Amino acid sequence: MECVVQGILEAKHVDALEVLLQGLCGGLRETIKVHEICLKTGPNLGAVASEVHLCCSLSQPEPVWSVRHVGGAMRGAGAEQLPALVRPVLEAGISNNSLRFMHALGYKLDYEMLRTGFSFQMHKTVPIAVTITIAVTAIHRLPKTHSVDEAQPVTPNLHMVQLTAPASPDNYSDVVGAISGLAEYLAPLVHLSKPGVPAGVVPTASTAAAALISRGGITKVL
Amino acid sequence: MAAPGGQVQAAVAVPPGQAAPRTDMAPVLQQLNLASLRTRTQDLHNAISRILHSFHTLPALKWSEVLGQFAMVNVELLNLVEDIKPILKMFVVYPKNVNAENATILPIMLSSKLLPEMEAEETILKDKMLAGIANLPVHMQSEKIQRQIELVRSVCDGAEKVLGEARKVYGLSSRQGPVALATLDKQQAARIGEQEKLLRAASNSGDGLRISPDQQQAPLMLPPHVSSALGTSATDPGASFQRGSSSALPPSGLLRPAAPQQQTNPAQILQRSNIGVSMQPLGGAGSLPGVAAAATTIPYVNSPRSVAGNFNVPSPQQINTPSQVQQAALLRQQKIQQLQKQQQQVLQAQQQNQQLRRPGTPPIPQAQATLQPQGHQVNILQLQQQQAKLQQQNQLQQLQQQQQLHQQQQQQQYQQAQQQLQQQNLQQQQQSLHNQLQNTQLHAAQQNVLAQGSQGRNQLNQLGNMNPLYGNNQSSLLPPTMSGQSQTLLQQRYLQGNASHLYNMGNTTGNNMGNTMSNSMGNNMGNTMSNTMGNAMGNTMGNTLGNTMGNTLGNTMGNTIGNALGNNMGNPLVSNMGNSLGNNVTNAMGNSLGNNMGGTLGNPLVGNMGMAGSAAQGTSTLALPLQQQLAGPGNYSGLINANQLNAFAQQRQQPPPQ
Repeated sequence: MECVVQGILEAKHVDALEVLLQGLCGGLRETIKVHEICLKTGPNLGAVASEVHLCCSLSQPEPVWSVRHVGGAMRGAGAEQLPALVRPVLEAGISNNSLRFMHALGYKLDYEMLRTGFSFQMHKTVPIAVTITIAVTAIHRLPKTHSVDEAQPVTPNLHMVQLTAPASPDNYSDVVGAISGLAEYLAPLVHLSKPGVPAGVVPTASTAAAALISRGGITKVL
Repeated sequence: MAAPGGQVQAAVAVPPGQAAPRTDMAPVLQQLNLASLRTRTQDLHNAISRILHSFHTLPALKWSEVLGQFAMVNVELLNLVEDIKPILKMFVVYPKNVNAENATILPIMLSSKLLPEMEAEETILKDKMLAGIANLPVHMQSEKIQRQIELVRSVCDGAEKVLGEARKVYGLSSRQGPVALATLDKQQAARIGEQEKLLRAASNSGDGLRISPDQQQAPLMLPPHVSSALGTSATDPGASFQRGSSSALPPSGLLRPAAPQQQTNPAQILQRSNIGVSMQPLGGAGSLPGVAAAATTIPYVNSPRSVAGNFNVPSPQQINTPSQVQQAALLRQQKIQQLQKQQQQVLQAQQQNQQLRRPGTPPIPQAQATLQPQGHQVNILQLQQQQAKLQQQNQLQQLQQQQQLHQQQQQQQYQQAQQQLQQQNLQQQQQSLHNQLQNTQLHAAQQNVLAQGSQGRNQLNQLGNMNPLYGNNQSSLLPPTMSGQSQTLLQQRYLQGNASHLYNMGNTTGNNMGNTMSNSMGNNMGNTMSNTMGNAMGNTMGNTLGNTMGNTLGNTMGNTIGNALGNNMGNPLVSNMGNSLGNNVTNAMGNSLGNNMGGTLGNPLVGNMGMAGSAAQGTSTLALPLQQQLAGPGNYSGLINANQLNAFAQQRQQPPPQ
């Protein structure tokens, strides 16, 4: 299971957010370049369509494939009150013949995208020891199938900010609390909400971004 | 802060007698990790001092770095405070020196108690301030202090102005001040809202990322990770992309057939991957009808979709070679067969003229009885045989050289292709041949056979050679060139070695005959005799013939031959052998072979099984091309008994023991 919140950020403030995250998380920045292929079963395989995501990480010299299955979000009155979305997720590494394998199983290409950006990891201890991943990515569409080099951004001016943290059924509430705590730190720049809920941009984001990124040095204090 | 100072006191102040309340605070006790708090506090203190030191020493500091470090320190401090708060309630400040004077002001004192360091600083500062005016009266001291306060205040105001101006100069707007664009324009907000929806939908559910089938375009070059994932070469755009796009388009989920380009790809991996995969033509290839197009590329033998030309390929149990290799080899061999047919037709025509028909074997009394009337002609035949031997030797050598290259690979495959052809012709002729053989026309045929002894001789040679070619029992007759053949062949050699003793088969004539037979038979793909011989002989006849030959028996031979032949390919030879031979090999040999030799040998191999008209038919068809000759009923009895015929003929040279 994982807890996830999402927000959007204007492209001009991404650097400021990076500075903020670097201060908050210690500076281990990971580049993201993931070619995500979403496969879906056809109507001939079962009553319910099954969907898997094949993610090929291209940031390393050798592409690393992983398969990811995202389940439905947790429902209920309690879940609605949570500021974050809790959903089951299965993720595993997979060999590079996964695409052929899935095709052989009957999965067909539903859509694919390219995510580029960076991510940080924050280790929180209160209220619970959890590692939250903050990913700032731009989503690109591929006009030609599998043509990663010809990717075009879906929204050139907006980036996606996503906070995810692994959870288990018995501690997801604490994990959600940790995520919301971290979200407060990012509040000056980005509003975070559940994936399906639009949150808009922060009006004063430019102010905060300007504060984070300066063009001058410090003058000696009197 | 009274807490740090009071902690030590409080820890001691709590009397041990109050142990009961402690248990109620057990959960808080778990948070009482003073050691970690102490270390964290110490670390934070060190970090702050370090940062301050860097402020003083480093000339070029950037706001970003400073803020970052500040943020870290701030976060750490906040965490510390949060952790301490629940622990604080465990501690109390227990004042010691409480007397009447302090009692009333004690709370105030406690709340404003300074740290020892802070107290020390304050005393120092106070001394410095009041050093100059300590001896003055109090009101003067207060006036001076007031003036100093005013002075400091003015300096602070000036400093703040300077800071404000500096902020403006460096673009640092006031954080607390009103922001010019506190709210976005409605239009801008709406625009951003729409884009946000787009982005969230694309990221979460892929809306807007799906490409309809007609709009999909094939990329010129697949990215390396995808091409490796799909097992294609990235440099083969058309074909590789076809495979790369081997995925149905989502909305329709239709199965689309493979584009024609796929079929040209020889990669077996791709072909295997196409199995069960709906290959879709992209790049405007258009929709092709039928999914079967994708499956046509599967190069499996015995598949209904396999390439045309695999006529009734036998089951893999009968063929041990890989199907794919076989298929390719089959195609090649079929071409070679056709070429060789033409070659062998000429050779057979020559050989048939020289073949002798063999009378029945001496050990079979019935054969002898029937053949005795024709004994006077046997000598003539034998002379002719000897002449044929010499001629055949030369021919054999030539043929062997040509055939050695192809024999092993082609034998079974020839059989396969030929079986199909043969079956078509032979099955139609089986029953007619049966009837013919059973007739008393055997006698008439025998005469014809004798008359055409040379032809029969050739056929016998061919027949004899058939066995070794196809792993049959006439291995002893084989020239050294044939030694490289199957194990059964070697076994049959042994058996035939024995047979040769009995039948003097280990002679050159036998070899020649065997060679010519095998060579011609082997080369002549259209030769049904060779095919049937090979099929039957190679599989079952070899052993049976070897055995029978060694045993020199009619019964077993007849039965085995007949059975084996009958069980095999169902060629007319088999049936004829079974029927004609019955229990008497010699009869079969003599009669059928004689008939065959006479009639059918007159015909090339396939010849007429029919006895009555076989002679005429045989001779009539002698000069015809092999294929035409094959049109007649196959003469297979002679094939199997070639060696026997040889033996018989040779023994016929000697007067049969009577």
